[in-house]
Amino acid sequence: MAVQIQNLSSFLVKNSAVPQFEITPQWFMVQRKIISEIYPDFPDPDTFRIYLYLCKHFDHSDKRCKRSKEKISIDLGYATKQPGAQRLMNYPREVDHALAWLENNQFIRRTNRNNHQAFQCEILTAPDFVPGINAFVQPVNVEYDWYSLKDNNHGYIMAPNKAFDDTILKKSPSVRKTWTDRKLKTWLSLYAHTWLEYFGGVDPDIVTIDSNGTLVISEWFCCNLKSSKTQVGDVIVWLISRGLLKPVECYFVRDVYYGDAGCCNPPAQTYDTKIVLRPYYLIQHKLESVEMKQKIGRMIL
Amino acid sequence: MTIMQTVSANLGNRKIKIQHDGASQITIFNEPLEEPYEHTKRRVINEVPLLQNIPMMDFQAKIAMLFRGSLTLKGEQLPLQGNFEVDIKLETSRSLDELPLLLVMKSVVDGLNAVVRDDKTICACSIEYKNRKTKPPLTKSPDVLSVALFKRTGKQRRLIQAADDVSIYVVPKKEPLFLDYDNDALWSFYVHDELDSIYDALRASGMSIAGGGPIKLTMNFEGGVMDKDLDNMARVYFRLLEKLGLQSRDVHRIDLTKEQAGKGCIRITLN
Repeated sequence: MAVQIQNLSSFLVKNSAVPQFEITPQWFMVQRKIISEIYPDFPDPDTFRIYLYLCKHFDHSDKRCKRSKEKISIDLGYATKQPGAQRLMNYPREVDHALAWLENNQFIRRTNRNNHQAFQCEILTAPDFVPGINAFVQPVNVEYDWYSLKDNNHGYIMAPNKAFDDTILKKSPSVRKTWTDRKLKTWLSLYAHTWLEYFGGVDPDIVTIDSNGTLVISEWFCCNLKSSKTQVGDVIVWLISRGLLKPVECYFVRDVYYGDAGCCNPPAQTYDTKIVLRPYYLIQHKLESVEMKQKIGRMIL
Repeated sequence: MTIMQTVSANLGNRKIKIQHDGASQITIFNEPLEEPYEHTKRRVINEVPLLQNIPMMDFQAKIAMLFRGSLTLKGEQLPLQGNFEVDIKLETSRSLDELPLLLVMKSVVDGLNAVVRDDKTICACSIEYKNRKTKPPLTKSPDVLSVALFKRTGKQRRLIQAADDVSIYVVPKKEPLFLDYDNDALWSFYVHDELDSIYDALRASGMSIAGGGPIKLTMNFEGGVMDKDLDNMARVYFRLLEKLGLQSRDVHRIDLTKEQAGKGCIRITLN
């Protein structure tokens, strides 16, 4: 079933004096491997969100995530401190379980020396999954840093912190209902395919809107999310309706982004016009790259 | 009884001998050519920034993971040392138009590159296509892939590891995207000129490949080939076969081998 965008023209980004996108310096890394048709999902919604939270608050300079269990529990709405209390009396079971699962399956390594010291951890290269025996195995000789991961073809997603604010990872039933696992996974995966210098947003081969307003979504992308095209289409429509993804009409020369139709003259070379989905939150250094120099002036931001 | 014709082609100031039967067998007596540019992970070619196709990179990372995990559990030191053979089976409800077999093979082999020391150590590779009549559920991959890796010692081969019947979305090899769209960083005149001469000689003497399948394609490369990638050499001669009329969608099986020899030779058979 094709998913249709109603009133496409009202969603299309227009050049305006008001900023259309939010440019933000902070970003974090999540390995692409954890979202795939041959990798199991996290055992429950808590573990998935706590893992994302740890990735987001991981400090690459000292290779630590210094977030205590208390901080995690309070930030993600598992517990509130009683007025006047010095500390939480008990840690919520879900937090304990999630951290234990992540540690036992080698997604993280605990770095506090003993149980009296506050919980802190190191994030490890996401383990390989062996389907035959349903086991996770830590890859040898691949460090959890940008260069080592890239050199060993362990791709990662660069996601702006603001796009994954702690508020959308919270435990409350209403947040979980709004931000389902599928929505979080789709939202993350869309950032894996956002290459501003090449596409001006999300790769149109992954998702685009055709001239009839129909969403065209890659079969590979849906399969990677273990979802049908309709399920992924519904999430994308929802992201558009929330203004988190904005359709932009763009010029392409030989499949490479040239500029926004509303912001520059058509290129002198033969070109195509495509509707690209550009995430509302953009990472600042991506816009400041050498490759973007010629193009940034032709982009509505 | 097939009748072989012998013709010659001029490569610069050199003449090479070619034999063919007009329809399904070609032997070229020359050192095998290979694609000049390999760019699996490099981010720049000729100073032009490029972007690899992300679904393809992910597919290759998944292939690597399927092997790396099991081999690590067995206590094997990676990358593996030695010479190897790879057998691939692809069962799918998609058509060969979407999944050209040579490019699927290339993608799988590039994935295994993280497991074997270098894909030049792969000295034989085969791939077989089987059409699945039933469509899978909407959330599942239309493809089921099996890959087996063998270690080669002399003429013997021993199974090292296999990933059987994996429901994975297969992504054939794709060219990277170049940021500078005016640059032809991949163009090579040398290979094209040589191929053109060979093509002209074959064509002029009546060699042509009829349409229709299924075809089993065998290519054996002999000569100073141990430092050449099997699939890269195959891509060069596959282009030649395409010019002679071969349609990629008719090819249901490919068998490639390479062998060190004093004299260069490419033997091609279509069954």
